[in-house]
Amino acid sequence: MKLNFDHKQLSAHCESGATVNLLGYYNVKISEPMVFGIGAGYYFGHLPFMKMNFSPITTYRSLPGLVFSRTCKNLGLSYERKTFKSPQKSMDELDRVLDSGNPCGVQVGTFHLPFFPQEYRMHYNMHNMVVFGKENNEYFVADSVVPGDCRISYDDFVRVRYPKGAFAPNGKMYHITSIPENIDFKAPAITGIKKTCYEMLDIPFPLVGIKGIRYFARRLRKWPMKKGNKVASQYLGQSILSLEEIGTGGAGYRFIYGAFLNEAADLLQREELKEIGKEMGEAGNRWRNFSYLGARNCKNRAEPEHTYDFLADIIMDCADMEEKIFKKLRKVNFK
Amino acid sequence: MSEEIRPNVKIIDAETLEVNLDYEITHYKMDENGNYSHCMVANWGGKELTNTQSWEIVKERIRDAKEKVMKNEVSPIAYFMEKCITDVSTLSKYVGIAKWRIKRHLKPAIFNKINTKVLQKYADFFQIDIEHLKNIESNKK
Repeated sequence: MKLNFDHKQLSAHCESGATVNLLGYYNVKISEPMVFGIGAGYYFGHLPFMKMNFSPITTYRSLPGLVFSRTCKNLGLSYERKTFKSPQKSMDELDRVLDSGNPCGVQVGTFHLPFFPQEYRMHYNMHNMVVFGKENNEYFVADSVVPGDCRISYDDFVRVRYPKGAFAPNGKMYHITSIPENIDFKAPAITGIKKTCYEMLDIPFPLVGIKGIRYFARRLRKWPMKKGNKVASQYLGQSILSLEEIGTGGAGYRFIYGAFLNEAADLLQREELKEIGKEMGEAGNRWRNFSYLGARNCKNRAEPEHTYDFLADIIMDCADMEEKIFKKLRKVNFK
Repeated sequence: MSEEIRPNVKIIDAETLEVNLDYEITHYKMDENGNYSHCMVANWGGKELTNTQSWEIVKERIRDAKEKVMKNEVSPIAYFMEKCITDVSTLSKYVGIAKWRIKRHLKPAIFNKINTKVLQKYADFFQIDIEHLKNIESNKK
């Protein structure tokens, strides 16, 4: 059985891409930046106490699963999301959902994913893709990073749905159960913007939001003194990887969010959003600047080309720019 | 995990992996007028440097572990663990053996006393046979 599923575009962010694909099946035309904006995926967090690839985690988006659930909630769709302890039960449930004619999103680990490009196959458990059919013990999946439809065998599929380690998905699966007749993007877009403003400016916790960016810059300044040049370069490389490579659409989602603001400006007919979108792009360029210069440091790990003070100053700059942007965005009158 | 699951996907071999720099990912960009578009790019300016470095670090750890195994300072489990880019806590969850036991198993003297059943658990995750686990040079082609 194979659903008539259209794998629309390759997307930058795997979860937004999966949501676009899922909504596309129910004839809701929505773009990836729009999903990202409505789902309030924009975020920042620096978590030095959690390690991935032996380096502290720097995240530029919200927790996996939130973009989908927030998008559905804001658009007025109802959805079902489940995790299972037993792999057998989760596979049975997946078959049931597919048989009822709904494609299903799953969160998987990339380490065992056979069709994934080799260099991205680390222990990364937050990848999302859409399953849309089963035939002879093989599943059809649409992955937002890999072009075309992919097939994956039952056994492999169990394995990728039950990886271990940080953020283990435990077979997390989600699908849309009902959909209203007319969907209006206007109110959800405003809700999304408000949510993002709150998350970036107002969370009273030092490691996230704009405060988190400044905290990250301060930590970055101290890396070479505390850990030595080699480790500092390793940490820097990992944060640049998550800024540019790991499904961010470049410069840690800043460009995607700018695209969303641009689209929202047309939708809500607010010219000022377009301007803010442009500023967002400039902040994105600054981040890109950071990753470009920072990457030079990874060339020779023992001798950095640019000092870490210099790089930290760029990030402080980004923080100032973003603080200005979100304060402005919060003041936009939508009435 | 239940008995009937027999994965046939080959896990990656970090030791010999070569980074493919031509793989294209989606990037968004903005032009001077503030209009956005997206395109597929393989390189944004620093891909080669950062990607190569991150794998170089993994490879370095593997080399270090291998040397130590050769000198009989740690057991071969350390080498294969690095080869799968895991650390003790992740490995513990995959093979279902407590962390403190794995740390014990990293000592060569204790490794030699492990029974086959436990070794098989490690070998299953590393996707090798027990012979190879006991002697890391045995599988050389």
